[in-house]
Amino acid sequence: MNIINSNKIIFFISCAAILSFAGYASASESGIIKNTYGHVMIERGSSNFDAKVGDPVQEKDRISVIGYGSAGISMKDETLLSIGPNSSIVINTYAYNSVTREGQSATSVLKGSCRFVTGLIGRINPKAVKVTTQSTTIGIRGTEFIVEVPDAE
Amino acid sequence: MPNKFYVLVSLFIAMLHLVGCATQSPDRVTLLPQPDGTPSAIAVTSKTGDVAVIDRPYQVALVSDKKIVLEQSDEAAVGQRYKELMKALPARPKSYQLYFENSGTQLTSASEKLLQVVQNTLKDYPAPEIIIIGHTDTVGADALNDKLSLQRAIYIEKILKTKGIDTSRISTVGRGSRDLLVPTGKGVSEEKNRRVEIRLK
Repeated sequence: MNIINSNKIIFFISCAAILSFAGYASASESGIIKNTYGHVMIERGSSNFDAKVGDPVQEKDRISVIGYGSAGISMKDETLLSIGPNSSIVINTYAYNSVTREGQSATSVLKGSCRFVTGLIGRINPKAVKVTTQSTTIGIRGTEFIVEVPDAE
Repeated sequence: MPNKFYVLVSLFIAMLHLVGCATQSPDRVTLLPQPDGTPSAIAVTSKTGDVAVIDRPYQVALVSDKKIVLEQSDEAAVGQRYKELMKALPARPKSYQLYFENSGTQLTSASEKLLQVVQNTLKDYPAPEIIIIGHTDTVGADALNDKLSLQRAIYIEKILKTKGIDTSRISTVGRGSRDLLVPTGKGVSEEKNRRVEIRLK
């Protein structure tokens, strides 16, 4: 009787722990805008809005720094991104399971510059992280790097 | 006549070439060093399937549709070219361990001081994500330890709340005695295991 009870309690607490762990992050949230300087815009579906600190970033978002400025983003798997002046990136794919630490991420740099500090998805499985531009695909081996796509003129 | 035609065609081809060159300024991929100095590398693949690996800090791959050219840059040049990127990178996540006196939620005095450090560090983390994970040592029943570990996490959360810290992205978990920092048998009092881990993102 006692054992059954304590098992139930543990089960309950584990559930509560997992729930509270996932607590603040809605399923569609892939990351958070941590800083902005100048004009930073998020295009989501057919809508677009100015990004501010604390805004969630989602899969399929296009994030742009218009003119001189920058933005910093932290993803759920602790990948860190910074975006430079006159730059646009798209989060094509982003999935991360914080319990198993498995996931998938694909990011495109459309123009300008973006710095990557790859996080836990890449540490578990480097092949699961892809960064692309029009002319290149970058495969990582646990790393930090910068991608710059010059403006076509 | 055929001569003139020939010149025109060559001019036209030359112009096309110039336009082509202008639009095909190569992409630059720069490898940065790991903060802990461990080796790292990236493989760059061009559209036509050429592959180049860069594995030295500040090595640059210049990638165009037709070819990949490697060159070596340095910290100063990269820092200058990408100063906005350097400034805008969010602070790296940090973890702290706070330790507790026996079987309760009383922090050790060293950890009281460390909690102050955590509060000060939080200003480097705009829109902070704070993960608080409580742990116990192996003294006492598992169910009680699960409860105590969560109480410890919630206790720290409450302190942060009273200090006016943005706790809208906080999460608290109790892990009982599952994740021991110092592995011990059952029923061992170990200060290093009576702890709360705070992770700042």
